[in-house]
Amino acid sequence: MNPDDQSLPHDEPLEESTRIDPLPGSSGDSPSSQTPDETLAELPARDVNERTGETTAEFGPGWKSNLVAYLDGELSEQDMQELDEVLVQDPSARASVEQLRQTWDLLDVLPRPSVTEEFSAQTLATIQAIQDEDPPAGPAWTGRILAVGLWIVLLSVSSAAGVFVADRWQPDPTDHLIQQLSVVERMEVYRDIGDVDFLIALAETDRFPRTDSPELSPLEPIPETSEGRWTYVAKLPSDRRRQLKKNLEDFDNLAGPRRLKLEQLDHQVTEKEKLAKIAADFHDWTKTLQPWQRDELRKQRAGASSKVELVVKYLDEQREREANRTTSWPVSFGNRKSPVLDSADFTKVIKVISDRLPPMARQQLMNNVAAQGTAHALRVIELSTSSGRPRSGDRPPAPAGRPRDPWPNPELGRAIVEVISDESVREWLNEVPRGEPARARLTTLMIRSLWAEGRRELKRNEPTSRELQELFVGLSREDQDDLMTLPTSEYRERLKRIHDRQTNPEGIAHQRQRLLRLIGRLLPRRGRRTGNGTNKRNLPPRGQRPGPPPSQSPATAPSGDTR
Amino acid sequence: MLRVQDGDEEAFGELVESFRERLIHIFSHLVGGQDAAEDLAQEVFLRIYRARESYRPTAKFSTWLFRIANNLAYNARRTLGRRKEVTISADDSGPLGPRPAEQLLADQSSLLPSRQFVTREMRDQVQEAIESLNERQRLAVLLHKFEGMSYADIGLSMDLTPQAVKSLLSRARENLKIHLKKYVAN
Repeated sequence: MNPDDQSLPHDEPLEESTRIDPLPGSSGDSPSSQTPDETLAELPARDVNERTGETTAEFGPGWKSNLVAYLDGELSEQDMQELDEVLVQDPSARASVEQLRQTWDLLDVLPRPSVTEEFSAQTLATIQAIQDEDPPAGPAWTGRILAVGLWIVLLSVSSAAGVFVADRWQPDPTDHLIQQLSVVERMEVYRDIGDVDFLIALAETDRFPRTDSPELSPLEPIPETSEGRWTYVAKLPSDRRRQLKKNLEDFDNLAGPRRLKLEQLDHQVTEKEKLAKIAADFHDWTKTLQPWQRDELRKQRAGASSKVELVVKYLDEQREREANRTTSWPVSFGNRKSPVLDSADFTKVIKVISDRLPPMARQQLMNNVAAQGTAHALRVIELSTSSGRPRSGDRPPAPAGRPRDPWPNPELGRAIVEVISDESVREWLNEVPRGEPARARLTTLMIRSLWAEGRRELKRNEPTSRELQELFVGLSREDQDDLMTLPTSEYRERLKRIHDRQTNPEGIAHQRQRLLRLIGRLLPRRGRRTGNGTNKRNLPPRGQRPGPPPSQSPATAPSGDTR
Repeated sequence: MLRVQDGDEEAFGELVESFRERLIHIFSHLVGGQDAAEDLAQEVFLRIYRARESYRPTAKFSTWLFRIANNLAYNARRTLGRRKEVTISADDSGPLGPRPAEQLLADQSSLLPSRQFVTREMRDQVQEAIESLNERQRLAVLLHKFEGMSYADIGLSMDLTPQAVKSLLSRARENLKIHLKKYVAN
């Protein structure tokens, strides 16, 4: 039997089997067949044949796999000895072995990928979520509870003992962690803040937005007693404990004055809830920054007020980007300088519009009490813009070709402007060029503000990592597989979108068609083809003050909205 | 793994730490691309965790792990239509856990002239040579070269007999030699 046949796997796929290394002189499409003179088997096979008179079957192409297996130490003792003899006698066989060995060594130059920092933490967090979802049953679960209980008891006992012993003996590294737990656990937050002076300056300025939501706890409270801290650490998942250890190392490596500043900062944050809140707000906000911006802030050493100025500068840049993004979806609506209402003004405006709905529309709104946030706002604007349409019985039918009444009507327009507290928005509304209806700006403002509020709503409703993990576990296997094929950042964004769609399906972020319809309904008259043949193409170029539109009279604009 | 079976979370964390880089390395050569490799490595760990109750220590843990990896890589390639996306970091080995024979290989290879004159061109050629292998040959080479697995263990991971692995590796190395002949002394 041909030894090569023996070496061929019976379960090899056809593709592999068809690439059997050719015998000298045979044809084939294997790469080795293209250079038969160079095939590894040929030289030793020929030489051995001449010397020993053995048949080709015995020293045929099977030697190739034997040579490789020889290098790999996978030959039997007998085969090894036989091949050793051949190699001793045959320099070309030795050369072949050397070539194979060098080829193998060349693979060392293959680069090894670096693993992202988050990989282990993310993997373990997902595992944690699965574990919470599906706790192991039976003895293993009981064993775990017992182990955790034992662990806590042991920690408590050891910490109690530590109270007596710690002062008399050299400090234990773990005791050091317990002592510094508060500052070390909040290290990430404190790294961004730097020192207490900046935090106080930030608290005193009204230019940094606060989240006054009572549901948001400022910072996780750290127990004061040693026992409480032991228990706190014991309950942390393993990845958090590892992070804690790393934070402690970082903290210990800081220069003395820097450590002192962080300790002072921690003391103030622990003592004053207001500072804790602003610290948490600031830390959350820094996550929205570009990495280099965050880095710049951390490096800022020119004093608290300079750092606050830098914060305000980044905030302004963010607002500008936010405004630009607002116009980019779903269509460019308004120009980049058009303002948007903040949440407070937007809520007031929606209330004004809602209060002025006709009775039937108001009833429709009340029938849908579940709609909240932008879902409610969108419905209010839809009802308000629909109610302006001429209806049979309400009033005499509109002449053929006459568009519906423009929105908002003068009275509503005045009411909207009156409740807007932002002076810059009011000024923008009032700087309307003569003859251009102010309502065009009002509608622009409303659409942009609706979308901007939608983005804020998305941010407010942003799920926690834990919620995302739970969501992931609850998805179908197919959806999970689909998500797992995404890069890490996209994976998280996709999960957030799924979460928002589930929790807020009527929110503006998921109502693209309705928003487009609304925009179509509110588009300024000048951009639409009208009965007298004017259309957008007849408009003067952008930047040139347009003349009064033929179909409009200044009287249709809300009084007080134009200069 | 037995500690993981007993609900030891720390043990699973250690397991992830020990194998993450090795898995990602293997996957990056099998499916191409760091992100895809990380995703697949994460899936391997998830599957191991899900199957922890059924794990029986009849073979080495690494054999079981790479068997799962092999199945996943096969599915991924099928899904992606054998898309090849090569995005390899130029970084050298990071903080690896204990790996069989790796230190020895590193020591040996550091003595080679080829190691001292590694050029980007050579690296690309070696990368190309690896990619020229068919999927089974590539996996067998990676497991043997970088994981130091025996033919028997590779066979268990790839569902092949040791004889089949021997043949597979022989052909793979012959193909590699042909691709890389300009870097090999005659």
